[in-house]
Amino acid sequence: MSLLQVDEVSGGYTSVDILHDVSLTVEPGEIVSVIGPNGAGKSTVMKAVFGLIRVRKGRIAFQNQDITGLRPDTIVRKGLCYVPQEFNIFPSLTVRENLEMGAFVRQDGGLAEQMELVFQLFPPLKEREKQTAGHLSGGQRQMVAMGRALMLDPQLLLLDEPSSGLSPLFIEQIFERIIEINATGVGILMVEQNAKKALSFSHRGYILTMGANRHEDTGQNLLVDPEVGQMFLGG
Amino acid sequence: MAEILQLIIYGIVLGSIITLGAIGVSMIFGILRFAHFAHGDIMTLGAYLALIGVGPLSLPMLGVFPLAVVATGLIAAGIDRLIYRHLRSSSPIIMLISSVGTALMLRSLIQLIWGPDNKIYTQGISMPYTYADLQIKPEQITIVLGTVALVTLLHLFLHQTRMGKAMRAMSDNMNLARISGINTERVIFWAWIIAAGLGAAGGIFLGIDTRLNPIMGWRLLLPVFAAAILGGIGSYYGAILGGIVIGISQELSTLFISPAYKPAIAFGIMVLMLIFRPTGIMGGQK
Repeated sequence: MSLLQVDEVSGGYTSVDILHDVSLTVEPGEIVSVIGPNGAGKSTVMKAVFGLIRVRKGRIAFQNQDITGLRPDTIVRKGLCYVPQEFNIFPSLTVRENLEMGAFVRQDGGLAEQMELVFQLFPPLKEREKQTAGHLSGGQRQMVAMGRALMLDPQLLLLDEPSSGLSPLFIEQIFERIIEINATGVGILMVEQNAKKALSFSHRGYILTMGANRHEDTGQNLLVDPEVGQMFLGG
Repeated sequence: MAEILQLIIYGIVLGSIITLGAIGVSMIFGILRFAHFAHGDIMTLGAYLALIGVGPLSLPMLGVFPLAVVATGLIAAGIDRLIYRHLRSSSPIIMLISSVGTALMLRSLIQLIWGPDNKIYTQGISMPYTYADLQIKPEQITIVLGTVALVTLLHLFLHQTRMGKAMRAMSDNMNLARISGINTERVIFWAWIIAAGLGAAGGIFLGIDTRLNPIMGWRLLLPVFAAAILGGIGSYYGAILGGIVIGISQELSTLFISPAYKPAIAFGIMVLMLIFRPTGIMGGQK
């Protein structure tokens, strides 16, 4: 049973389709990267999964359960969480409050333990739990954003450009954390500009162009494919 | 000197009332992204609902106050269900115009029920406390202390409760709030209860300080918006600061110009603020 199955989805923000019959799957425990040039619809796929854009055609299933067209606050309860590329924190809330908001739908009271886990993963957040999130550095904000999404203990994490705007040092750290999160059994679907780096630790990768599937293979195979390298990985 | 201090005292009293309105305007803007022009008439409504209690039913104001506040909150949440909710996906301008319509309906309704004449809560004059040429009426002390109490309660709500934090989160980043699973309609419901409840408190205080008439709130709308913009719209603490500054400026202006021009001072401050620092003192939303 696939964790996530996107089946020939077409749709967009308005009546104009951006995605054209896009299909992809994420198996349990996998890291899957979506790469492609600007405007290929990479982020749009994620928004479609999370019910943030209109899906005109096709089907999206999470653990064999149809989630096409559900509202984000319904989808989040099913065990998939989403970290947008930008505007992904609550800037005027403290770090701790940001994490609490991530667990808003959680009623079982496991909040303290989950927060402890997030602090173990991102120790700098523990030191700054009472600070206003908007005053943190870019890398720390990205930690808050990912920490917020982890508060529901999801089975699948959608990460839109997790390394965007970060310094090389932080990029390395964030990628290490992603591998660590994945090691605990969380499936990861990731969109990345930093394609070479992302593919190097992805189990599989999809290449999108013009809102449609172009190529699909294991991360390693895509990395060594000369055509892919020349066209999408900068030679 | 004594005259200036006296005006500052009056300014703080007026500023307290403006603050209670401005917090609501700021909160609704922060969460629903539209300027709620019916807020002044919501304040009037609160004042008249309290009049039912202290007038015909002759109950003590202390008991009537919370009832009128809650009732006004519920009515505002009802108006939202009936009108604004259906317009949420349309542009903020449509929401704004519909709130002007709501304002007119509320005011006409109040005028139909209670008539256009001035009303007062209680007969008789209360003796002011005097200290070295400065005077303050007991009711005015109640207004200022009542505002301090309500603002403290609001602060505790926003920082200590789950719903309060969700409200701040939503006014920070609506999209992320939805992605996090926050039920935005429930947050909106509570925002109306609190915004209109505080507005009602302001309306009742204005009725206590002066008298009630159907346009009391509409007249207050300009200073209320000026306060919210001065403080930075969407920022609750900015609204408090803005309210007090506008209140004191309006009263101090009577030293130089006719009291009839008081609202012009609020308007002037608002325009200057919009030109030179549109995000307000505390840096709210655009």
